[in-house]
Amino acid sequence: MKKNLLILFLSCFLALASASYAQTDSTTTPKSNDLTPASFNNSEHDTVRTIESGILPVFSTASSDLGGSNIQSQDVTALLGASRDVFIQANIMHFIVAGFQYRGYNSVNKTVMMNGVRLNSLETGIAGFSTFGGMNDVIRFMDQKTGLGSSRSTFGDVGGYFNLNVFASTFRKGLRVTYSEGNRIFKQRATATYSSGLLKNGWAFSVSGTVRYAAQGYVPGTWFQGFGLFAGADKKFSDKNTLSVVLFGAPITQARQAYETNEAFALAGDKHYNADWGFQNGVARNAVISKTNVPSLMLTDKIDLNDHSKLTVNAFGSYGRTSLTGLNYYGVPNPAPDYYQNMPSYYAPSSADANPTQFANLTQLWQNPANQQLNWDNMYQANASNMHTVTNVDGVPGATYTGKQSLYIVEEKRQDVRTGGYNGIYNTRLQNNIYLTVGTNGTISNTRYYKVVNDLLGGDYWLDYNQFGSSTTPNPQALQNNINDPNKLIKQGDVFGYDYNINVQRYELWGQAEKSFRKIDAYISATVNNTSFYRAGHMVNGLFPTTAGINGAPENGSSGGNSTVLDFLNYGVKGGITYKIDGHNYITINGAYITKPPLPTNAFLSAQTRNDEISGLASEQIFTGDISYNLRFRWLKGRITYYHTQINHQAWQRSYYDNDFKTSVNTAMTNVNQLNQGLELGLEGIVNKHVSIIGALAYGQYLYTNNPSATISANNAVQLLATDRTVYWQNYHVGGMPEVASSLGVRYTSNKRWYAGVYFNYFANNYVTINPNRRTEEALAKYIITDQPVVNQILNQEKLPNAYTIDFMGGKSFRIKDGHQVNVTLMINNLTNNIFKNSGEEQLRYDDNTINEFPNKYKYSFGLTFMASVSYTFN
Amino acid sequence: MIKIKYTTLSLFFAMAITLFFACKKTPEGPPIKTALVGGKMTISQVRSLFTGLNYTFTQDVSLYATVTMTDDYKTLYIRDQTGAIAVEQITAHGIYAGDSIRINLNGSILKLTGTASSLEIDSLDVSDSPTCKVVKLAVGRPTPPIPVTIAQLNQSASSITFHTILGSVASPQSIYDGQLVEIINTQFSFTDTSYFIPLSTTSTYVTPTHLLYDCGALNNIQLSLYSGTTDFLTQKVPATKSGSIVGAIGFYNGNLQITPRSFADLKYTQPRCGVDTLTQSFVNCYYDINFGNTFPGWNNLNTYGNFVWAAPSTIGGPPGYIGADNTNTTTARNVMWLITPPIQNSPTKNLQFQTMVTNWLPPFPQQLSVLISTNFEGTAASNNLYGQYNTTPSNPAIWYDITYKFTGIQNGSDSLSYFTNAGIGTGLNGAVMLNYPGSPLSGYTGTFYIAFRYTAHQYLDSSQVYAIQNVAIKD
Repeated sequence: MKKNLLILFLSCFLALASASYAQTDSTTTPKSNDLTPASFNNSEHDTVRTIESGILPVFSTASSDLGGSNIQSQDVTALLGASRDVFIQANIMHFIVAGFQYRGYNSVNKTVMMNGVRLNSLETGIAGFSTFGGMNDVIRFMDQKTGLGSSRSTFGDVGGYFNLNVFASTFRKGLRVTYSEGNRIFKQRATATYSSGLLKNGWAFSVSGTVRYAAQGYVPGTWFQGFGLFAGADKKFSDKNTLSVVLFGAPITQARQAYETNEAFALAGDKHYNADWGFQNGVARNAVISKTNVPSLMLTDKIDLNDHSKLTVNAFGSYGRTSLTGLNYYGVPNPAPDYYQNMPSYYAPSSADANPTQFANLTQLWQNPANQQLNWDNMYQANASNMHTVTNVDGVPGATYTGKQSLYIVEEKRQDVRTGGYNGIYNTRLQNNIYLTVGTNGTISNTRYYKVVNDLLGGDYWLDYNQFGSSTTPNPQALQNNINDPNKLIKQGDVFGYDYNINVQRYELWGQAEKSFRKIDAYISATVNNTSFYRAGHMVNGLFPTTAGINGAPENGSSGGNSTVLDFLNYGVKGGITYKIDGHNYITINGAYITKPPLPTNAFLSAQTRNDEISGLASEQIFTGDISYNLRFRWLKGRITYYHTQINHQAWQRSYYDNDFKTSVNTAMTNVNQLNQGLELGLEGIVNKHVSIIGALAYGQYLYTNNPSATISANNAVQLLATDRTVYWQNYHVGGMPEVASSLGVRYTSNKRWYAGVYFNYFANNYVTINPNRRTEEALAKYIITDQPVVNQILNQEKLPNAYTIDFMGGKSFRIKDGHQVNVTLMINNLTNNIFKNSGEEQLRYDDNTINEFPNKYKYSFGLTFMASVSYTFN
Repeated sequence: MIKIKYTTLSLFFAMAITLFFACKKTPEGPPIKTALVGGKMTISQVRSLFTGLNYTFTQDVSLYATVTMTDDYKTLYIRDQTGAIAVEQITAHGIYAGDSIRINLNGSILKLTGTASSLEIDSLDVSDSPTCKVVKLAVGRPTPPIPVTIAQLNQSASSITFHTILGSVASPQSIYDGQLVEIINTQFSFTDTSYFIPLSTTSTYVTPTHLLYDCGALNNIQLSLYSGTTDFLTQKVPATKSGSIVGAIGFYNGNLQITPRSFADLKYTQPRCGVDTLTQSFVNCYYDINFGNTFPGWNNLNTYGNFVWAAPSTIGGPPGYIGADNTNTTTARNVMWLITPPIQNSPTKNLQFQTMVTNWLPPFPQQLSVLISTNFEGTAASNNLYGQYNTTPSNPAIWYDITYKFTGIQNGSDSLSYFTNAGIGTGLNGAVMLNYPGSPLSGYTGTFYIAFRYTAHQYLDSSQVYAIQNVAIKD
């Protein structure tokens, strides 16, 4: 029988894997859920102890952690998903290197909580890894569900939820010290955690600290410096009342990596070429540094009201800052070596600006590695020699200032975060064996967005001018970023450019009822919530020189004052049943309809300069469902799931710098629909007591399903560049991740407390993210269908090459004496050093006459990486 | 007992896989025109629209073509299977040779570039969208020039005259108009040793012209540089070499001209060339002819006096030959040179011609000499035969006298009134021409010229009239 089951398992895997190779062209999406065996009875959730399951917590394997220009681009959810589910294990351990995302959901569709408190940002929807990065010892215990399912701590989201349980009293007493060495984003990590256990006086304490460091990360020019501190105390007043307080924070500073074009990679001869850094006085310096430090305080009271009812209430708050630096320049060429006009191709014979001399010169320059990086010394020299006199300084007529006006600076975009709120959950088991949960929560978030001069690079000042504003309007004030403080000389640390708040409030009431029958478990949940937000401008931009409410100025068109308050009432219902065929076979079906408010980050046309919101802004509508078949045998366990998630009315916004308009151009879309659907398979076959075979396959298809409307604006122009422009996105892939990921491995577990496993992983159907402006009638206005290949070049979505990796995982435990244990683990990813493109994007800027002038940009996966850890545990 | 519900599992698989794999979708993309309302035209069809007046396209019409040349400013030359034409952009913008393009002709104007000049498509908008009328379909397409000779070019030229409300308009025609060609076997005049662009000018916006000849100098075409070129600055005309030139063909004032893309298009690396075979009966030598047009490549010069070789009527004889006469001279001496086009020598190359003398006057001096030169530059001059010239040439050619090899040249003593072979033998009129034993031209390599020099002195020499015909230089 075992043999038959294994054959069945392998057949299923190979059949689906074959299908993944056969389906070479595009399309499809993902979504849904996971019903792990633990969820079959409603008595407990999938609380995972990773050390027990032999699964290493995986932090920082994803190369994507380094990329992107968003301050809070790092996603935590994929890193936290430790689970007993075979598929989810593969997702965590082997798929991340390829940028795989569970069912194609982006981070906003996954709820991350701590002690029941939702940590997702109200503005971005993302729960940043930086919130508690590195605190592995205390976040290894969690309730989690992937996809839809019941939950007694949250209504959740379509991507599921993680609820990190960090109550000091639940941690085993003892000390654990861990040291790790690797070659990934960070190279060294040291962690120490002490937990007192529940003391006789009712107190329990837990303290954890971590340091992670890399002077030089895997990617040239990158480095990492991360700290983490967790302090928790529980006071058990009685058997029915425990008060818990938790303070945690994880300041992280790291140097980033840029996406690059094929040309840059080829010229540099390095698939991890990074243009963001260069030498200054012989010392490497990266221009793009992200910093995050948002410590949080959380107070929780757990009250057992009676034998069948309990109440959990939380109060929480966070206060901190995230920031991202970058170069800014005034009236001088872009200093980035990979700027398109600094690339030989810009002057290639076939380009619109062909110049054989320049082409030859740049090609020659790129042969020298020094020219492939930023030249900080040149920037300093340029600033030092630019003596300039400013008149009417700070708006004072006749006031002058003479000094070295910086032509280049390092600016720092900041987000100062203030969040606070409450959470309450009431659980009770009713007489009819119905388990009822009711929860309510509210969060207020005020985040200030602004930027400061981080480094004048040897200059004396920077002028707070909208350097291109005057070219678009005769308005003499257009040059001023803040007409209330004109001609402002900006010194290091001064605020300039933009300064505004996004203030958000969200309140929710939700409930869930669960009931178990002999053959069926069922649940139903509902939520109703209200989200409101507005922008509050602290500067009055010269292009939009009014303050809302002052002199009758309306909200729209004003840059100062408060915008219209955008208010969204949302709701959701979900339900599911598990049919227990017998003790080993289960069928689970889940379904949900959820509406969600648009994210404030996507809601404003150009939040840096004005109050105007995007027209047509509406709540998202999510229809989702999944059906799973689960196996729970001694020799075989796993599941296969089909999921189907339709997300409608999404808001989408991206910005890019456009030389033609001399400013940032913002493309905002509303009514963006997408369908994520696919199959998931995760099976583990136990060959004997030592050997098991693990297979996982995700075959998804993540597609846009309609043609939304776009509004295009420029930061320095009053007039919109386009309104209600239809973007023909239907059936394009969402992109940015592989839709197919598979893993097949064998694992040996010894009686002598060691294990080792080798896993072959394969990734396919990874598409680049696409530029909406290239899929409009306007983009094709001058073309006819036979204008090939140019029409296809504009319309086709590039599919990145398929790729594989081979991973090794192993570990051994040494029991020194009672209560003393040493664990050694080693994880090697990508044993064959197969470096492949794992992410790509179409540039938002493009030239419809020469589409290749702004080619796609990519990132490559890491090659062979490892992380070796040794930990000492004393109980 | 382990139970697994195979049926259930199978049904689940079937349902899930069917559901999933049943929906494979392809992006439809934005709506796009299948064709322009005016359809498409070829270059030949476009050309046919011109009837003497400017023609403005007012409808969307596609013209597919490949850019063969640009002048780095506004002018493009495009070709398709049916021909070629020049295109004038409103402003230059990113269109280069090798680009395969589709032009929407709407808004463009079909017109002559000037009086009796090439046809062109003018006012083409190639700026950024949305007004751009050019779609670049591909880049780097090969644009090989069409090999052609100057003779073929000249033979292709014609002209159509349209009678319009504004008067008659001449439209020169050639299948090569606007075409990128490579004219083979060409050379500049040996005397054209100047700079392409006079060094005296400080502007590159000049239109210097230079004549290009084929090897026999039998045909020529004008070289024209486009305004603004800097490539030819400080470059001298490669007059000492022969070779080929690549460029676009056009008409200017009724004359064909070639405009090279750059100096690199001038591939003059071979020694100067000549014709392989020359035959000239002079049967078309009539009174009042244009010597240069009637006998291209021939030079008719004098180094002393005013007379040159002339048509029979001038010298009083029947047509069909060319003669030299000293009668009624007003100068003390006349030295006249009739020089062949350049000849490409070979070991077996031979020279044949016939002579006749009239006005026989004792002592019947031998007034006709046959000379050969390998460095003739267009001004006949040699051994300072008489110690003086009309003007002293600055760069005289060196001539070698080979008259002794042609003992059949008449001197009047025989009082013959008909042509006889100049070579060995004394056959009468109609007799077979005899060659000098071996080759009279042996010993001379490369390109050479043959000169028939008539020398007369009013007092010392008689004034017999010498005539020649049926000159043949061939293997």
